[in-house]
Amino acid sequence: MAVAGRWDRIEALFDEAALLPAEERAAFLARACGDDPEMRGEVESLLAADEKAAGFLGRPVASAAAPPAPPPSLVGQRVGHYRVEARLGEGGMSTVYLAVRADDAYQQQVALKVLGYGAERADLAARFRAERQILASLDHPGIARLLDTGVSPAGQPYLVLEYIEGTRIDHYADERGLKPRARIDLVQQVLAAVEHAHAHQVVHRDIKPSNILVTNDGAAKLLDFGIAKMVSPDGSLGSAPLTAGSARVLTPEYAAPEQASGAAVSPATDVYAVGVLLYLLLSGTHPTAEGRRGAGEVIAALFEVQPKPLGLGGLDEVLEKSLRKNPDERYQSAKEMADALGP
Amino acid sequence: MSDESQSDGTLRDEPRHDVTQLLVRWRGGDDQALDALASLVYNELRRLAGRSLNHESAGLTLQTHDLIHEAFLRLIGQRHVDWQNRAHFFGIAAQMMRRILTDHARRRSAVKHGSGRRPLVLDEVPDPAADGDAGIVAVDEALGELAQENAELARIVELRFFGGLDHDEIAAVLGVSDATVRRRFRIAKAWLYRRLSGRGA
Repeated sequence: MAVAGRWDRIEALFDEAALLPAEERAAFLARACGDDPEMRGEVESLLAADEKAAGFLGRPVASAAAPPAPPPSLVGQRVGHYRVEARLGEGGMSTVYLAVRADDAYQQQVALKVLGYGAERADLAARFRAERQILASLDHPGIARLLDTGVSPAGQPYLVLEYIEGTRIDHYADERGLKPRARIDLVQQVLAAVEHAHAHQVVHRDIKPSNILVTNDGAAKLLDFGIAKMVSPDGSLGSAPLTAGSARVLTPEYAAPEQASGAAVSPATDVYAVGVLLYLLLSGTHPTAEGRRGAGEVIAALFEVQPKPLGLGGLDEVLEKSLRKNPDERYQSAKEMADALGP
Repeated sequence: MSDESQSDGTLRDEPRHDVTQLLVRWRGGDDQALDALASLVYNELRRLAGRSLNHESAGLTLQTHDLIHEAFLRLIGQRHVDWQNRAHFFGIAAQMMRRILTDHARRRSAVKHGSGRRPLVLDEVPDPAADGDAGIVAVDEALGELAQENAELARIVELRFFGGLDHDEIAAVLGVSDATVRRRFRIAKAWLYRRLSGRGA
């Protein structure tokens, strides 16, 4: 409090002195500060700076400087045991490269996921560590496997993941002209992987087409547990409160209502996202966000729009139940939804 | 959520009220609402800022102020909005803009200059806005120090420099008079100038 009071005094003296002609300021301050030369020095040096600072900060920084540039490429460099060969893509918080083990007899291709954007931000680094923990606990053919972790010489943490050569699930289905039953089979594979994660107390939270690749032989693989969080091991699934950081990253088109409103997530949150995925795969349209633009509109629609039935009989019931606004009314597990989709 | 629609007289034509609701919830002390709000605003600004990159080569420069107004229109709309909600939105947006701009500048200057940071040189007419990345990073850091001394002074500069808000808008965000904003911005500038020109670099 004493410090705050002192600053108030400095500010008051500065304001008053600044209104005086320059030649009267010294006398004013000598009188006003009396036996506090330190305060007098502070005010005088601020006044001196004020003389020169007229145009300083006169205009705001332009946003042309704003667009985030990609972090420096690591292509051609060595990171840990791996040689980086090509850039595969950018995520919200990381860059993914194709790399090979550089010191090995066998040439194993891997995906190297390097924390790039905002590496200086502690919350992102913490989330990255959380992802490493989560992935290490999962072992399922439908989930990209974690092979190694480390920190690059530049201080960027990285994950080494099984490299999946495949196509985004929605593109895969369209390119091959898959019939509804084959599309449902893919979604059931996804549900099996999600069920495995749930059994390990992990809710993915960001299931969407770009996070699911299908290999040439038709195996669906779930990627990117970037915003997945461990749910509390002591309580029931979903009772864990959202941490501050987790709410900052969400994909409006695939978020469940409880995510968008900042309420607790549960396995039913992933069920919702798979419901959106299934609806998209079967109809080519989004259940709620059709024609909406911008995150605000998409999220508003999430609460307001009831998905239209697709005229597919029993499938409509599954879609309807997985896309309920209230998580308690959805399927309570990925397995339950997979079973409802039939053998 | 139907309460607001009903009191509004319109049931369907209310696609954006979730942001307004989040603002109301936040003002009621709900920190999770602030998180969700910050996330929405951050993403929207990032998207809009990213788009302006395409115009950069054409010499067109979008100002942060325009970006924030555009984000406001997109997320909340032109409908009647309580001025306090509007002010709070601008306050959050300026903070998010500071984060976006500083993260970007820090990353880019690290690319250009290696890990060593180029000290900011203040010339006769110092203008960190024109000084590029080094200027932005330096102001961000000095602001952090000013916030230790007096948080509201730092907030005023944040709203002005990173948010592009004018004195009236800043006054509305902080709930103080226009004259107070002008007066306090002056000493904040002097403090920062001294910090950046003297011992700083």
